[in-house]
Amino acid sequence: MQEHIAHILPQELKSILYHLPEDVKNSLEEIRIRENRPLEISYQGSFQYVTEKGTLTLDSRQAYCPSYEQCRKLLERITNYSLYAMEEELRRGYITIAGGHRIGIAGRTILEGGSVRGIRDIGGFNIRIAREVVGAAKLLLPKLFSGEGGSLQSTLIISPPQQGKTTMLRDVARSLSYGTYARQLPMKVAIVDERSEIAASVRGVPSFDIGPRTDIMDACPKAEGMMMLLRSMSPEVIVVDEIGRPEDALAIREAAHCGVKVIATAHAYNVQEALGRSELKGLIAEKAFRNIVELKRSQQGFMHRIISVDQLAGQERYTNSLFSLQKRAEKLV
Amino acid sequence: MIKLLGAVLILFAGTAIGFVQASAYINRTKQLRQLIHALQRLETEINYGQTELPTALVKCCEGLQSPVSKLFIKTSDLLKAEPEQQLSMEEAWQQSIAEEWGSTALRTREKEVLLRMSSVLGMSATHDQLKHLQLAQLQLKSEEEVAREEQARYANMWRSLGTLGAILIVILMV
Repeated sequence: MQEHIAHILPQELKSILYHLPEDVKNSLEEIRIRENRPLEISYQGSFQYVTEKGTLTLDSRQAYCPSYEQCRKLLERITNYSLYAMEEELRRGYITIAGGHRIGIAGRTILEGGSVRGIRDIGGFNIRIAREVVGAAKLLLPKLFSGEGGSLQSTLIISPPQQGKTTMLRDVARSLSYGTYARQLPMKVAIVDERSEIAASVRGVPSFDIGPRTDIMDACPKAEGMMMLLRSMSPEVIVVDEIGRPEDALAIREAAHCGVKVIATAHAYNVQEALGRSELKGLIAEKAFRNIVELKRSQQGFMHRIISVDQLAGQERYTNSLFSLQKRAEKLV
Repeated sequence: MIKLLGAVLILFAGTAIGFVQASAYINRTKQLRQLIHALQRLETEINYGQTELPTALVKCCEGLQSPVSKLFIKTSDLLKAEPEQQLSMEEAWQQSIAEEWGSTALRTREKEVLLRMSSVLGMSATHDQLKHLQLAQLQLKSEEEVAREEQARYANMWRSLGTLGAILIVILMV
């Protein structure tokens, strides 16, 4: 099991999970700990309960139930004995620990003026184990340098959830920063990491290797973060996760005006669906993005398909209607 | 000759006992004051610095003298120690108090205040933490007042009592 996770787990839980079969341990995706309810793990896309002896079962009555004391100790260790210093994290509902693992928490919320100010009486934890896939972008990256003279093009990566968008984005940022795959010079990369997923920063220092020339704005709203980085860090590439709001689009336009390339991801099953979202449609129509990458995860690894926006629009020369741009996309795909 | 020597020794011992007793009262007020200062600084660390407790505990007692500052440093060390120990905040305080309490001049009531505080320390939002720390300070302050009164009353008394007692023994012996 990963060292950082072993570090935060209470003794009893640690020894139980230590006795899990080796292949399960190595493919753990989530550990779900609920106070006085069965201990659950998920791995390789399926879930099981864990008994006191560290064996797997589907019968919840045989499963081990973590006690109140253990949950409290776990919380103390996750927060480094300082819940008060985690108010922002509690408002968001998860805490990122060293190693980039994210721990989702559930409990009773404290409201202030109708909005959530924090969580108290925390009784549920979901430890999501992060794995860094170095080299995920190896095949994709050279294809992004399709501009004039082989320059980098702004790219929108779309895929359904859990298909490796963030993993891919992280590796793209890293490779651009190192200058690894495309034989380009190392670039100045700036990441706006609103949900602390890309770099998984702990106290401002990234847990993942995201390259030597990369600056991160951690836990910062995307639109604001992009503008701040544009002003302060003079990046060549801005990397941002999960765009889709009107203010994001404004910031991306601003970046495009400054000649800064943007590599962003968005939730969508395919190009048609992306074009169905007004902000994305606007950005694509304006050619703020030159490439769209559809991503899927398969047994062999990451599958991607690159669709050039010029190609989409070029076949629609006679009409400027965005509606038919969308129809064209449907035909193309 | 030997009698004289004995008498001097008894005088000396009696005075020493008196001073030791008196200093226990004086130290207690002093240490209570230090404890209150430490908690005030802890409050600042939590409120403005949002410093995490293992660090805040060390910072809050910088410049304080040994027995009191040791309580905090020891707790912080225990928290930072090997993950195998897996102490909770409360357990860490209990352990450091158990080990260090003997070398302080503090009493059971202060101990209770600290232990009660330790059970909530770090485990709630900032404003809640501040309230608990302020409550602990308030209780310590009232202890300090009592301690001051006792010091005024008994410290001098013990000093003279020691010497006078010794003189009495000498007189009786002679």
